[in-house]
Amino acid sequence: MKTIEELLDKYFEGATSCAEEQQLKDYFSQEKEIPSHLQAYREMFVSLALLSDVKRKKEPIMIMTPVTTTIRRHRIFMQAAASVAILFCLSIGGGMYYHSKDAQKGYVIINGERSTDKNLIISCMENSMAAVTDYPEDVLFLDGEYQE
Amino acid sequence: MKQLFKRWNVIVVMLLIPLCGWAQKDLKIMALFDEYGKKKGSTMVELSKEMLETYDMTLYKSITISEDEGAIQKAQKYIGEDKKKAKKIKEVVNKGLIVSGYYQLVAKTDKGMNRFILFKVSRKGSVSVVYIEGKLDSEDLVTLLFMVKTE
Repeated sequence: MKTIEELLDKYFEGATSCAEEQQLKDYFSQEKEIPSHLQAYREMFVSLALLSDVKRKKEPIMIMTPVTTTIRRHRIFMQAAASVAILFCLSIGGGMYYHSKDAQKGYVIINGERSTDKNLIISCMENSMAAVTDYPEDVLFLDGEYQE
Repeated sequence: MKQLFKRWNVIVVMLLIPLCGWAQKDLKIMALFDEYGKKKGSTMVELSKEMLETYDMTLYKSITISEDEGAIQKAQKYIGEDKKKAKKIKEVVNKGLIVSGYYQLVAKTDKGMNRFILFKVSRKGSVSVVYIEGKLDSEDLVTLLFMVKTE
């Protein structure tokens, strides 16, 4: 018992080691009779022992942290991938929109000079169509016909 | 994990959407339009949506390049590549070189959609290429060519 009293003195002087503190906690946590002059310390050491238990139980949450980080990394990666996809779509889509807008108007480029004059476009289109064939019936593909 | 795959599918679909409808891009001959379309001696035409509807087409592009031996050789080379994709071919070959050719290509997208390439090298040394996409068939094309010839 003297040891416990010595340990208590040491504890209040702040000179106990972790093992000695654990010894005190274990002593006051046991169910057997404790001398009346030491009863006053029992509540304090039981509470401290409970606090240590709570801390120990919290430790698994610390182990979970890397999992959270992995999920966060996935989320960041997915967001980055989605951003790249959106940018890609916008650039291609923008190009296509520009092209389709351009094509919607119709145009003819003669010697590098561009025109959107409807009559000129039709005239040039007719010239091109006339230039590709002398005999239009030659273009007729009959079913099953394959000539070379 | 399933959610991850779902997200990936959405991204892949988003990436593929802009690539749809670029049927003509698979053709080598389109390089001729890009290379010679704005050069001196060339006439390049692309019809507007409004004009295309009157001919039952979805795309019309034509180019005529005058007196450019390099352009003729390139056009013949490109046609030689693209005709591998044709399901119907009619051509005139002189001394091993294609002088004129009419090609109906395999439809890339819709079943009812036809694609044609019309190609000719004139005696004067100019080369003409017409690319057409649309629901019109070869009979409609012949009718259109007759109309153009008689006008």
